[in-house]
Amino acid sequence: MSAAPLLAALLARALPGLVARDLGLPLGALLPWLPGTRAGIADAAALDPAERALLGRFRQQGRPLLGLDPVADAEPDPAWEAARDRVAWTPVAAPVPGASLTLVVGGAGEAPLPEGLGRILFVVGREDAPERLDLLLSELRLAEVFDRLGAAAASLAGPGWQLGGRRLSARHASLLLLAPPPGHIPDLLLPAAAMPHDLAELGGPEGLPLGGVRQLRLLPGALLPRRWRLRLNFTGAEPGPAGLFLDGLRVPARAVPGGLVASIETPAGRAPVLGLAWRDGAPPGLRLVTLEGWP
Amino acid sequence: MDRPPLLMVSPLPPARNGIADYAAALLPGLAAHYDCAAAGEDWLAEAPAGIPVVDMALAHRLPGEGRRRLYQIGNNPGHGFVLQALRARPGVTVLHDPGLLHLYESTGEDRATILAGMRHAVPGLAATYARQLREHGLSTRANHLLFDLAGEVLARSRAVIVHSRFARRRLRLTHGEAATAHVEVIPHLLPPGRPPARAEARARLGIGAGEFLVVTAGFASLAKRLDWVLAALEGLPALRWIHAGEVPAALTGRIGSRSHVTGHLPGDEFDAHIAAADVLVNLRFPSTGESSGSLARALAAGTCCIVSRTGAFAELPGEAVLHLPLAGGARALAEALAALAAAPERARAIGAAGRAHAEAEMALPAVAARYRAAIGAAEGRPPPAAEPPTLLRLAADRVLIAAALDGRSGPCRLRLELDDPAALAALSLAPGGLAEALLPPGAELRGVRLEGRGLLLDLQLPA
Repeated sequence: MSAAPLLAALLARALPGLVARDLGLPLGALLPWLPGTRAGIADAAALDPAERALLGRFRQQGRPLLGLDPVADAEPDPAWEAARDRVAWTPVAAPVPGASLTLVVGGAGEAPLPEGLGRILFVVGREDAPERLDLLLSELRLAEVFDRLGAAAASLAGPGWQLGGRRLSARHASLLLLAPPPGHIPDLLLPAAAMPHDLAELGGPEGLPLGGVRQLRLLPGALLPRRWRLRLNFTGAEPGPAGLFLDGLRVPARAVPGGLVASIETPAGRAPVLGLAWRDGAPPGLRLVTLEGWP
Repeated sequence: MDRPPLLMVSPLPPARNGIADYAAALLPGLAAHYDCAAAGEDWLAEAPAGIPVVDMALAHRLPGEGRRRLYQIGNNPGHGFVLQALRARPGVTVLHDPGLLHLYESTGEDRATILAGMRHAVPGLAATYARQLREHGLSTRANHLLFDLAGEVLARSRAVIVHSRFARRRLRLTHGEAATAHVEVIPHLLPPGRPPARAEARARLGIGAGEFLVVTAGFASLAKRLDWVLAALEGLPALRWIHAGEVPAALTGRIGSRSHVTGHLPGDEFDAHIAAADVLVNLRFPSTGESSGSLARALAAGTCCIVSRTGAFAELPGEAVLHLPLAGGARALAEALAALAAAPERARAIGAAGRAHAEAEMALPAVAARYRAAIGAAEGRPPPAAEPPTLLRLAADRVLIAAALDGRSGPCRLRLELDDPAALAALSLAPGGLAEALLPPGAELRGVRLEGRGLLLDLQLPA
């Protein structure tokens, strides 16, 4: 889903204050590009059991990933509930309960929409590899949201971009936003505590506390499949002799003042799992603050 | 050469675990036949060069997903993740110790699963011993000899490899011919590399040319009978004794008063102690059929070994080791040591014969070829029976359950909805426990686990 960074930018501009849920794991296409997005799985029962067990290890802000624990899913989520624009990203062609806007990857199909629902058909991404999504929303909000998206698209588009769209009816609209190759590939900047991870500690704006930790997994979400330069930024201490892992396999990494840098080839079709390991535990006081990446 | 992929699931060095050393030694041999990777809980574990180590939780993401799996299981908590992995996907299992009760007890397996395993292993005795465990929380050393808890590993594995005919016979006696038809014997493995020469090792450790050095090795479990060694050496003050390994705190004073206890040693130091020895005393009583990495190292070094005439050790050729009868324990050992100290050339001859035997039977290429044959044969077999599907969802009501199971036979799975956990807890405290409180006569409870808000029971129903 190479259009995800572009869509994230579009949504963030059009709908300031939006709260997002990405139910597309194990892909997690939206996750890296809208920090704070709550991660989940639309259909956990369909996952390979080993993948389900893996995702079951992660916590985000202390909560299991959505879709794995019905009890946790039912607990109040004040940020989500209070937001006007609650955006859910899903591969399942149906509105997500509780979401005011549902982005269906690949489109919601040709079946008639349920009463009261509108659709904005997106064609977005790279001009030589356009991608289709449907935004399902209340027909009462279609005009307003479409106008906002159109304005945001116009502000995003640069030279050589294709931009278009129209309202077909009160319930249907379309929006096209295509970038020339290599597409819209922004730099990555993720606060560590916003990412799903498998530590017992919650973490916060000051980072993830790692002192004494021997192994840690992070789920940043899907980076576009290409080579990325990554930098993990620490505070409180130098990380020392840490091992960096990509999907469970060690990758070469170099310690730099306050950080660890590596060049990785990210996989297609799924969110990579980043790992950190220390033979004798991470140094006391060490905190992981951010993950940065450059394509 | 296009080698098929193979994932070995095992602890690896630097884990203080003989099976970790074994796995690391075996991998280069297997790599001649397979594109190997190793999976474990320690991401920084040390595998031989060219063999990647993968986080077990992410092994399913490796390229070549669906690769054949080789599990290394021993009877200690370091192998809990291996058992979990086997539960998730069948493969070929190397059972280094046919008794697995300690593994189950020390890795948080619930008591119902252990009780079910005990009933499955020795139904006649389980009633008595399981009652002690259930009602008083008592689990004695006898439990570890009587109840091997290997039934699950046998059932879930495509093939099971053990290192002795004794281990296979033991499994067969307990679990029957059909459940063990896929158990094969592959001898233990010579450690990699050349051990140091005796003179070099003695010089390194400061052992005098005229000293007669007795070495015991590894973690000093009670079955290694260091009490016999201590008693035997009380009358032989001229003999020097080093224990190359750890000793439990309760024994430290007694053993330390006569021997030098090194604590855990890195591999090369460990090898040096064994190579420097005139005799490695490697006793076992009781033996559950376990194999010994220390013994393999001593055979490789050409060190004379004294072993108990029991279990896997009794299968070693008489000229390759010195067998000690179980009766007479310390006295027999004292006599044997005194005789060897008086005629050290005899110890050298036994050591040389031991090395010749090991090089013929336990060399890596030969052992790896046998693994390849066993793994290949396992692929041709039908996979182990899949877990029975969720058959019935019921309230925890004996009458409803009996009606639902009426007329059924064989394996079956039952999910009890926990509408009233307090009532279920009360039932589990009833005489005879949950099984007797809920199940019809003859239904055998094989496993219990919580799943969401339900209790999942794996049953074996009578024919």
